[in-house]
Amino acid sequence: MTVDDLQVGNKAVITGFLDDQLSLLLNELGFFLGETIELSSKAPLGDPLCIKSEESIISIRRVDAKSIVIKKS
Amino acid sequence: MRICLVGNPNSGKTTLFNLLTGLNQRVGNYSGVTVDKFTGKVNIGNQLSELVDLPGSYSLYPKSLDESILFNTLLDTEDENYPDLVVLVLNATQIRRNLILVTQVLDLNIPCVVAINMIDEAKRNNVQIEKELLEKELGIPVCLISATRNVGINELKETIYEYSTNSHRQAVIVEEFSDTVVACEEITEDTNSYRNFIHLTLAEKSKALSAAQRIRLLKLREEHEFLPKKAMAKDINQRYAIINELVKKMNKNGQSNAVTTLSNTQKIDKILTHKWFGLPIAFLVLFFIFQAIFSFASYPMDWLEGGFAWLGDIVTGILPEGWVRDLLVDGVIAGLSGVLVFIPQIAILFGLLAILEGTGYMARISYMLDRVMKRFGLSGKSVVPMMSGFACAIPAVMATRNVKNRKERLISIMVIPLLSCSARLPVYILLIGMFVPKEPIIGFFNLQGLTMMGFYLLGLVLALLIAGLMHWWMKTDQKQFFVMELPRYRFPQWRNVLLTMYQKAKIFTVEAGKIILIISVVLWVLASYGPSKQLQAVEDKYETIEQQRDLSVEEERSKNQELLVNSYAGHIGKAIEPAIKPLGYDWKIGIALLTSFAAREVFVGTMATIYSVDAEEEDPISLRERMLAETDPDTGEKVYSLATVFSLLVFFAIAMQCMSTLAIVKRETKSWKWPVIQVVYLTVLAYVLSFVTYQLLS
Repeated sequence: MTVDDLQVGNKAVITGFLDDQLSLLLNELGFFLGETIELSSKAPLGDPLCIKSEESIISIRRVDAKSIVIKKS
Repeated sequence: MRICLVGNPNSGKTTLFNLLTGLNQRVGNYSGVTVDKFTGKVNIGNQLSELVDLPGSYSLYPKSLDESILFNTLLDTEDENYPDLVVLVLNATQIRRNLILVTQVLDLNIPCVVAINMIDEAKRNNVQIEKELLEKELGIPVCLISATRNVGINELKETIYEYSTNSHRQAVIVEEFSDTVVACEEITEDTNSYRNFIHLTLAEKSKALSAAQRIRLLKLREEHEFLPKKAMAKDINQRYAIINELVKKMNKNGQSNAVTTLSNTQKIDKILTHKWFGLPIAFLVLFFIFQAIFSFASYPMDWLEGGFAWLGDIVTGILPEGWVRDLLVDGVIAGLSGVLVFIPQIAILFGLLAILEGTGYMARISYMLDRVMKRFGLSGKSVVPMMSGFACAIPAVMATRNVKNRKERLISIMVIPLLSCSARLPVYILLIGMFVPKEPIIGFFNLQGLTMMGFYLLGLVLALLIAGLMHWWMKTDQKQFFVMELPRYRFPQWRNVLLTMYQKAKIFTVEAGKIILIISVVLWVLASYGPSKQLQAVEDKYETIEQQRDLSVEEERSKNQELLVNSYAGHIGKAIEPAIKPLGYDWKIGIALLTSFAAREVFVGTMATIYSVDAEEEDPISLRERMLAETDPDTGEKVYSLATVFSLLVFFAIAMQCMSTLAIVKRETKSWKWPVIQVVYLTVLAYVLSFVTYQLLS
């Protein structure tokens, strides 16, 4: 399961990254392995998505969100 | 002493910098790149120290031009900006994430002081920051400050004053790489293990290395099967593990840190990025910005132009007739007026952008409109610069600095001049009025208005098409991501807003102003000088009349007309006639095309001079009638047919008839390459499409 499968308001734990380059950037923004995240909203046109970690909110395109593997909590 | 401010984006680093330096700062460029370099002087312990505001970064690993500045400055002990002391600025509400960069800089063994900013916000939200615990764990002094409320700043200055070198700290190196890192020492002749680790990981980018060292490091990588991407990820993860332990110690009650600080932001986002209301609100905001640069700015612009006209009159009165007076009045003063007249638009746009940026709403606009821009290879970040282009390309091109992706920024700059700016309006009004009747269509729409809208759309469609084409053409193997933080909502800092307005106006005046002034003097020479015999003949002709009586208004106008026609500009117009004939233009239009390179609206004034009529911008009826009556002396046919006028309209919608845009593109891309490419491609495109228009309609 990846982040784009979540419904708004769902929480999940990050279990892996499928893209090396993107994972580094996400790590630095506070989205790392084991962190609990929430799909907090979708943009009015359906893309990008908005995900929240404990400290920050980021926007990420649906295609890129597919590279974040999660386990629903 | 040189002090560098280092921190994550949105840590309030710039606010602290502005507070410490005030107007005592300078904006320059880092050598060779288009990243603003902010330096200033700060008084610490009765001594002036140099303060450098390094671009905000999430870690030492560079992913953008901005971030590579931080990387190059801190990794190269020989760098011109290498600090004696680093002040690490942290956002108290994002302490975990911010500590990554802190531990990295500490491991480089650079003397550091930590300033935890936004402490007031953290307190309001019950975020616990244990100063003593952090000092013990990190081994360096920690100050709790609020740059917006001026809290803790004196303590910070005292701490900087009393700074000592860091107690020796064992760098965090992932266990499995420790042997490899030790093997680097011999190559880099450096004993700092973390610097060696980063040199090895980023050997291709590290400018501190010699070519020989780089090759040896790359070989070492192969021998030890060292994979840079994996190594960076492992490094960051290990740091997180350590930081998580530290943060757990701070929150003894086990309460997680920042949950509440985001809840207000999420509440506001529920409205401002709402599924149905989000976009209408964004369009209202964008419309307001557009309106502000399009029409509010016109008042100060009129005062400026009026002021310069008045100054020109005074100089005309004081100095005796001659080339010195002409050069001063028509060359220099007119040129200065042409530069300074843009300042209101620039200041207003950047004031509003600083407010949007400071409140956090800017990121939301990019977020909501990303999907539209994505199709054309751009991202949501280009929305605001592109939209500003409809008012004026100059501040719009300057605003692309916020687009961090280099390729995307370049594409935006290249297509912005296609958007119909306010200087095209007088040209559109003059030309559309010649053949399109004011016939009402539905309600208050009339045919003229619709035609005008058509040309605005033409520019927009072309801009997006060319953006898509450039995106496809400039294929890079680097993947493009659109991952962007949506920062917490905050009140804007007025000090930051005013400083931004001042700096942007200054940059434009100083750096683009020179080029604009030179071009305008050249254009003035072309339009007012010519082969002396011919000009003398004109002068003599009117001299004889003047000896008998004063020239009438009509005679004055025809004298100016004859002077222009016989000037170098007139000769160039005639010379290029064969080239522009296929577009339906005669040599008189050629003159106006040349002079309007100063600014598009000059076209109207030049036409008025050529046909010796009065020019009124709002409704140039007399000029329009005169142009319609014009016939070709050889064939007797009308010069301005429907085909010629529409071909001219298409030409003006596309061609880069603006030296100020040229100057600012040169400044923003740091080379003549891009402005030259831009002028060439826009001229070719304008030529081809005008040709097609003329041939189809005639």
